[in-house]
Amino acid sequence: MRASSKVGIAGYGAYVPTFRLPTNEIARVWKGGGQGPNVEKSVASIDEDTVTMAVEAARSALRMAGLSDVGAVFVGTESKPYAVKPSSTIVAQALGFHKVLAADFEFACKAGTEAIQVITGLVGSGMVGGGVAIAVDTAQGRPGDDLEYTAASGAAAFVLANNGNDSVARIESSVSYVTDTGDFWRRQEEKFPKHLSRFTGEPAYFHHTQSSVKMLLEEMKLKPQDFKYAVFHQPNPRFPVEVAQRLGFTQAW
Amino acid sequence: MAVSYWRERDRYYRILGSKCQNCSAEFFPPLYRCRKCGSDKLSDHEMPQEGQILAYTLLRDPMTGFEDHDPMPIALIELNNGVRIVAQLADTPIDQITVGSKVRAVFRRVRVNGPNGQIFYGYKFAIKNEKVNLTR
Ligand SMILES: [Zn+2]
Repeated sequence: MRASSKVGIAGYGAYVPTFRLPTNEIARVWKGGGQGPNVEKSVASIDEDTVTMAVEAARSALRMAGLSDVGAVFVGTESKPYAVKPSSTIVAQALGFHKVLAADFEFACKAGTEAIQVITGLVGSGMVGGGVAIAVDTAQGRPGDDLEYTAASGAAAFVLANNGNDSVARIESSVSYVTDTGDFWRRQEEKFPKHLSRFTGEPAYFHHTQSSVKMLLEEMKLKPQDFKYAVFHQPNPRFPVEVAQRLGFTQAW
Repeated sequence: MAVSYWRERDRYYRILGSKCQNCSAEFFPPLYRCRKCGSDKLSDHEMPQEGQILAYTLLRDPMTGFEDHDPMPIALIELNNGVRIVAQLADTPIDQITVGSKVRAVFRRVRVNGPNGQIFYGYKFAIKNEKVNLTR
């Protein structure tokens, strides 16, 4: 999917909460000892949620972009504070934007990517001058679940605009590949998400990542060797390394 | 959302005050008439997001709805434009709050009306010290 005019990243910002939870503390509580694959994880403070973290990331992205012509504020999350009431309108108000499209995107991991793709289309078609795409989560794991070690809190925001060579990077192309794979969900009223571990690897992560990367390479007529860097979704330490190898990207570190 | 909060949300969300078009004095909370020169030509003006602590106190028995924030640090802050503001401090261990500390504005939940009521957001301030020690 390519926009008809050049769309680039004019600014970006990230927000990671101050507090940390060591994974050996999680292991001590549930399993009597040990440690997770990571040393610690970030946790939101008592007065933080995905709305407050989205605002912090977006403010720093907008400071970098120095852009006032913003026509869209999209927030992608799996952990919004309200089941009914958009997060994006609260974020837009806090950023001081009113004449904007505002919407929430929903997914387990790629809600922020969808926001980027939609804003690419809006900016690329000239419908809006610029837009803010925010990915944010206070991710949760069921108590005792392995996800508890890695499900953490943080936000990233990207300001996209049609500002030619001033961009940090240009979005040349993107694709999307979806199926209905019942791997990870949370029902209304439920506090924690559930997952079927048997689907997480092959039918979910590897099938979708490999299919979409192949689509992208075909669309752009490029090979893995044409890229200096490739970054894959990182739900755990093993998956991204393995999918890179399967696709023919050689390890660079 | 409580009507008064809704009406003043830009004040809480963005620290939106006013600036006198005649003498350039800045005010927070916003005013209708300049306290310095008496002009009624004031425009909306966002306050600087940084300042320093002039004084602080710890509330050991916070008001209803704030029970989770005990003790609650409240500081008198002088913003970089000289405007003074009273605000709750976020994220900082109470034994590391000192007069003169540089602070920056953060966007936080200020009050939550129980498990099914509305969430009220607004500014708080956090100490700008990279070396704040959070391990206890
Ligand atoms: Zn005046």
